[in-house]
Amino acid sequence: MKGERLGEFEELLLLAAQALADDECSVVAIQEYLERITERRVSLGAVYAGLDRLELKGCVRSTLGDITRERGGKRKRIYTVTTEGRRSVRDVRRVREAIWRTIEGR
Amino acid sequence: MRPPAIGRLVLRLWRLGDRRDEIENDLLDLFERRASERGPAFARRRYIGDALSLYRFRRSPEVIRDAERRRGVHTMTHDILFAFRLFRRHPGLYGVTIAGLAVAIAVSAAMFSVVRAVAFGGEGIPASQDVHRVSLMSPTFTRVTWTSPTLGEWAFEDFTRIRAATTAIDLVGSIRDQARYRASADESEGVPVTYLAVTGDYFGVLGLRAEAGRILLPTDERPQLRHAVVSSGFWKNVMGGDHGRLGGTMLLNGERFTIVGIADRAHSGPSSPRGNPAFWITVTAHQEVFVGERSAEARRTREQVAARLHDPSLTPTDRQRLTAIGSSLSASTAWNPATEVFGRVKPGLSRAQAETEVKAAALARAAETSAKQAPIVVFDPPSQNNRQTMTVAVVLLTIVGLVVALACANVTNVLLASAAGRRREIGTRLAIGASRARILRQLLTETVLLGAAGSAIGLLIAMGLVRTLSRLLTVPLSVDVSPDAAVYASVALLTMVASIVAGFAPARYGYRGDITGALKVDQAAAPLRLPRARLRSLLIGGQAAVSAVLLVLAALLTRSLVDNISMDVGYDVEHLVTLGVSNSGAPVANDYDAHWGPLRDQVLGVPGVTAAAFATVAPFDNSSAPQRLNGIRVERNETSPEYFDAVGLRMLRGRAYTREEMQSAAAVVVISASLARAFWGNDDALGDRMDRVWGTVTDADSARRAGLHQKLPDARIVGIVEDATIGLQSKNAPTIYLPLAASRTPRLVVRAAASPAALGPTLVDAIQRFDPRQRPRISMPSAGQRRELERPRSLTMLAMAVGAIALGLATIGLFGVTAFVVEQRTHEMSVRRALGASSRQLVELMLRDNLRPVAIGLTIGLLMALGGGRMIQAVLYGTSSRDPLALVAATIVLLVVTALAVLIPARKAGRVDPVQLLKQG
Repeated sequence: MKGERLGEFEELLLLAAQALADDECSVVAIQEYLERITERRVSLGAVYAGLDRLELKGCVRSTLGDITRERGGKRKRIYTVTTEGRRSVRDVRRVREAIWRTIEGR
Repeated sequence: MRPPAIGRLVLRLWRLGDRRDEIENDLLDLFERRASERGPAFARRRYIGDALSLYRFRRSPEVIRDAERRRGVHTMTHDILFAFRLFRRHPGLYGVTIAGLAVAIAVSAAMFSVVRAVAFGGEGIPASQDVHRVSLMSPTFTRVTWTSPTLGEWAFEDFTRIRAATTAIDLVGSIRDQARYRASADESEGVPVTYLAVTGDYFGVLGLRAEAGRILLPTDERPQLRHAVVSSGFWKNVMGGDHGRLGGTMLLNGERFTIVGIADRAHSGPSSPRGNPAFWITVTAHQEVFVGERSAEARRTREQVAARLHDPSLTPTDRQRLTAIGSSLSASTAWNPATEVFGRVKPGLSRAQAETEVKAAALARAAETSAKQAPIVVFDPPSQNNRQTMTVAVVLLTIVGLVVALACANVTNVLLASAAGRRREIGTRLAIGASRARILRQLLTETVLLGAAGSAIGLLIAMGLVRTLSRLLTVPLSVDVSPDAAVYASVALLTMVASIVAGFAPARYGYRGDITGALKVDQAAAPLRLPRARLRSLLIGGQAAVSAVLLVLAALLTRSLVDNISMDVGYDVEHLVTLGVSNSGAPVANDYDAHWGPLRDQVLGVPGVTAAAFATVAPFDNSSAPQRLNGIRVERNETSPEYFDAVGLRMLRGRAYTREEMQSAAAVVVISASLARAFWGNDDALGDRMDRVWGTVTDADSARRAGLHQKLPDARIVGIVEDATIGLQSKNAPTIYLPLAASRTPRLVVRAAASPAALGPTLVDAIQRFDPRQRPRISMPSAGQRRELERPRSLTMLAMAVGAIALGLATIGLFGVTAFVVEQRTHEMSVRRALGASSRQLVELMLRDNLRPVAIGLTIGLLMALGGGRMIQAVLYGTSSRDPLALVAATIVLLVVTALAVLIPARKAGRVDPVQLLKQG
């Protein structure tokens, strides 16, 4: 929970989830977004595992969304970032920016 | 296009649980998108890669545990809050249950503390198999002064000599005495206490410990030192448990002592039926104080003698006697008290070696002092726990167990009833998705909370109750009954375990829930089958049984008490006075004419005295010394011939022995009628010999057990006297009366014409005028009888209280359950009513159904009480454990109470209005 470190991949997942619009934030969407942004292979298993860990840490919340037109009317799992998650990412960002400022100041 | 079969196969391998459908859909989604964007080969490749990567999604055990733990804490809080809200909704029901549990726990914890302290506490001698109590039986105990020799104790001089001569065993001695303790110099009254004067190595050799300060050491035996170790109980009860007293002083008989330590309550030495000491001092200090007191006293006595000698009305015989006494007083005050001796066999040596050595030393000492007979040395285990105390302890602990069991059965009943009422609630919860395990946990939480609340309240009450209880049971002040952590912990643990067990059945019942019932709108369609009727009946029956046992116990004790209070002792005890006189070191042989006879004449001369006699055992004086002959408990009393007249016992046949027979130590006895009946049945015992009674005891061990004195082998029965009761333990006991042997130190039994209390000081005065050395101790047998009744009185009150509590608990349980059952069956009742049943028939139906288990339980309980009654025979003091009056009374009370408990709620069944109910449904 609070104070637990975020892995690099987890941080990326959180950022991606925040970047995507609320109703589009499904597992597949996150995987495609990350693959595009990082220009590297992102396996679905990694995404699933990472999101699951984040949910256990309380950084994201998942709900089964409404019935959609596509996919035979089945429901998609939508992820939203919790306040906790947002705070964790902000903390990491703050640390990185502080170090970057030091580096650039020299 | 379909995803590659290999990929699908791989996917099957992983345990994906309830996310499987979702994952398969996502993979398919991706496959289709990739296939349309980058071609089927790419899509197929990535599909397989992704399927393989889902291996990481396999949930790891730590993650699962971690998640559950967090969820668990959150839900535990939720469970507890829910339970509290539930209790608040039915405060009466749950309040009463908790109260019942609390009372049961309070009583149990308090009793457990007291019993533990009294019956099982105190010894703590490490390696106690090497420690023995060494008894020295010497038929001619001439050298012991100022106390009557008690079985097995040594003369102090003998002890010091023999101790010096033994190397195989470390011998330590203790001398028991009484003093008046005062906290400060300006108090006039003191608290009488018993203490032990011990040798310096007593604590060390026996391995006893101090819980604060230090134990007594050999260095404390230096002259002029006044160091004392206080017992834990005395320190807590009388000195207020103030640690500041350590190092301070206390006054004993006016002498100042320094408290150097407080004895550990669990390591305070061998227990003795004569009670635990309040404190320990050294033998040296004791001797200095005693000798000092005695020499002061001797001076006072000399002055008295001198004053008496100036009396012109003295006869020449008296003058001669007083002059002899005066000259004997100027001899130095010998100090040779009775010493209880313990010994620890030195490591590496055997008990047999130690015994041989001590026996040899004793023989040598006997030769040295020209004792007439060889002393007998016996090694015994160090403690002399009173068997009666143990019986009482076991009985009390059993009661404790029963009461707790009863309270827990109550809890079960209540929870069962309430679980039934909550089936709809539980059904609803199940319908919206709660897991059954979750429901079970909720129900168990409620049980545990009930148990915890009851425990906490009960233990708080127990802390206050212990004091009252120990006073009620006349526990001596030197015993520390304050409950320690062990008691509390074990009682709390027991209750928690019991309440979980108690809550298990209701929880299992409730957890099945009733989903269909929850979904139905009308209650009327609820199933008629009642919750676990068999278990409920079992519990009710069990409660009835336990209540029956406890109530019968209380009734028996009450009956016994009533019997004892109104018992006819066989003679007029109100007009008796007994005095303890000492022979003050006067020469022993043929003393009756020279000393005891004239003393008696002097006493007879006091106005208001109608008779006087001597006896070794006086009524209600705690001086009886019974033995077991051929399995029968026989009292033994050595008396002067006038004893029977003085006490008021009628000679049924034959005659008493005469003064000549007493002085010639003739082999004649008088026996009581009960002894004659026991050993001779319908035959005539008069003129017969005593072989029948003595049996075939020959070896030294039995000789010791049968008493210090010899059994006259050819004793002839010259008289049979009516039965007498001289103590609660020996009602109309078979008694052997022997002529007073010259060496005994008897008690003086005096019959007064009017009030004996007024006569006391006059008698003391007369005795002292005769022999100024005497310090007679007065006691009233009537007061002694009342004192002896205190213990059965307190036990009875306690039993009645416990019985009432048990009955109360059972009644509450019964009442609540019946009311609930009636409510559940209201629908059924209304249907029956609509079909034509009368109110009476309905009530009878309810009664029959609910009273049946009660009746069965009562029967079982009564049978158990009959069977177990024998165990408490010891504390019934002669009342039969099958006393019909008591049993009938208990049964009636039980039946009436349980009938009422069932009847009152059952009447509601008869009052149902069928129209109203059918309208609802």
